[in-house]
Amino acid sequence: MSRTREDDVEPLVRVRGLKKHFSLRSGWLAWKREQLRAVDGVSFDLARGETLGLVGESGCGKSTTARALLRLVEPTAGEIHFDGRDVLAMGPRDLRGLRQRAQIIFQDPLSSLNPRMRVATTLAEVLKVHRLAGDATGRRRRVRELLDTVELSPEHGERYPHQLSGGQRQRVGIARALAVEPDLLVCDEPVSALDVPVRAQILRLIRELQREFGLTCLFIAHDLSVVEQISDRVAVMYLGRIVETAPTPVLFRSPAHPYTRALLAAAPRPDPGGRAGTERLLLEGDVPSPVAPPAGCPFHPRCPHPDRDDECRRVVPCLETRGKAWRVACIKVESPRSSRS
Amino acid sequence: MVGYIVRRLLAAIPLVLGVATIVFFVVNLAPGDPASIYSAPGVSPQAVEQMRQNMGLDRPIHERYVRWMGAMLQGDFGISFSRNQPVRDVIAQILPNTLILSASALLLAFGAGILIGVVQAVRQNTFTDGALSVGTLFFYSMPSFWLALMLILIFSLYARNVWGWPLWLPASGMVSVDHNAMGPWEQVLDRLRHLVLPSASLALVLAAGVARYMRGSMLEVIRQDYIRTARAKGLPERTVILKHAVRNALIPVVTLLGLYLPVLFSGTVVIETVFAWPGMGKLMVDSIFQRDYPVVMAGAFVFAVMVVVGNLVADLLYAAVDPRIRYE
Repeated sequence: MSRTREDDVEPLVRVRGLKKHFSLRSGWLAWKREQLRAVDGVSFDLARGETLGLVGESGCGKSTTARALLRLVEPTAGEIHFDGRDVLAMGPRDLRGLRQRAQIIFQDPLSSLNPRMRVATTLAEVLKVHRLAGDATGRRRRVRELLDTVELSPEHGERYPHQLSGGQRQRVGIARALAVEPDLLVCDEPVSALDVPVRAQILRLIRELQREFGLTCLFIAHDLSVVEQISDRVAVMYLGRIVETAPTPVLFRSPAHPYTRALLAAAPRPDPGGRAGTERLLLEGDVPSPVAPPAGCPFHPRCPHPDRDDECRRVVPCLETRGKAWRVACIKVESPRSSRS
Repeated sequence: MVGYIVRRLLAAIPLVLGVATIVFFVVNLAPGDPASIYSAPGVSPQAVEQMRQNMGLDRPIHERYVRWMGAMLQGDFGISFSRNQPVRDVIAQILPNTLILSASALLLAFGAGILIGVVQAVRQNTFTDGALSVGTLFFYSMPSFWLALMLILIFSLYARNVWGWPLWLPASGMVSVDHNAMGPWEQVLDRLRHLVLPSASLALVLAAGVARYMRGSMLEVIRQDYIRTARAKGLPERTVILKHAVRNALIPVVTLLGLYLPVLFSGTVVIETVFAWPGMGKLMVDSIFQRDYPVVMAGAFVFAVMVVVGNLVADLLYAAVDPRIRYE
């Protein structure tokens, strides 16, 4: 792998052409094999200290991208580099090293905690496997510290997950992820299973911790307002691909891709008229099945763009640079002017 | 917790008494006359009638029921017709033998079943999984008495007489004829050797069921989010499976313990008879053939109590393995 002198600007994470296809068997006696293209060629970088928001509808491959990034599922194809190291070539030992530097917070805090383990045991186990806080006494002290970091009291450590509230459980999930003091924190819809008031608390906590520990974040959500608050940059996914990526203010002010615009238009917001290009855009039809994605641009069957034509049906659009850190995958969006309509 | 146990035991009293009542009427209304069995051929009718009076069989059935129930509630199960000693002494002497056999069968069944189920789940849809599935279904669908006979044929008869294996296993009884002449270690070994075939015959059928259950339970747990969390933590796969998956998969399997106790006890009736094991099962069968009413009734009562207590233990174990369950 070639590396230049400018290590400072090398991103912490580099993902190129990431694909994850799941094999499905269908038909009588399961003789038909089909490929579900959950993630179909995703590329992005994560700069150190940056927070990238990944948005898209349910089933567009956001979570699979996150899990493939940490090798919690094995990618079908592509390249993942973490701090210059090839993640896909890692053996069990290196993988354990990766898990000490890259952690994930899951969506459902109850089901992602072992119901038979007390909170303190769950946390101490992380420290034990990575040999982090010395002996049992050191671990106990560190667990108390971690609980304090996520604003829980030591007595919460003695509880089982089912004895905690939703917000408390997610705090445990965050403490568990932070226990190894990671560089990268993947947040896989960390608040979508929580009540609205609790959501705000958890988001505030994540933002604070992010600042305090200088975390690089991949933040997945389907709620745009959450992403707008927390990310520096946003990537929009549709049917296993990134269709647009831009700095957060740019994306929310002047979305270029027809899908991004439809997504923004569909999001309820407290201040209508605060953003440009906010005409009501209703998408027709459903998301096509990732088992049989449409040819050409995956979005063309539902695309509201006025210039949609046969070319869209044939050509698979690549992400084209449109501005600083702004890339769009649509052949009909060329000059910045055309996005104003 | 203590309150819960006491409540459960109190609730079990009418159940056990109901069982005792049913057994009393089934046994006493069944055809067959104990008095004529225990009298020598050619004895005068007056002597038989005298015997019937001694056994209390000349009284009307409701009177016999009230007397029997009253005595039983005071811990008196009557006198065995065939052995001429108190039923309580007979059972006290024989019950431990059945407990040894059942306990070792249960241990073997759950040990082997859990192991097979875990291996199958971890290697789901591989050749190993398929082969073990076929194997467990084979034993699951086999009647235990036939399995017992086959085991005797292979490991006792052929192993000793035809193939001349040094490690053949005895086919009957709890100890060898020359048991008393052996040294202490040899005695232990002798008892263990006698235990192998009967407990294996009882256990294999149960183990197959446990394995099927454990496989399903493991497959469910392996897909859980917290298993993914365990992997994300960086735990070695071994720890993920043994510590996180197996422990959670055991929770539903514990319920099987309660369900299997009646199966196990009815299994002992057959297996003890096949292996001439001097336990409760064989005692029951012998007593039924000898119209030894007091022993049959007391035996059924003891089995009922064991099932009730066993189920209570299973329920308490359930709370012990699953912190989400609390008994108040």
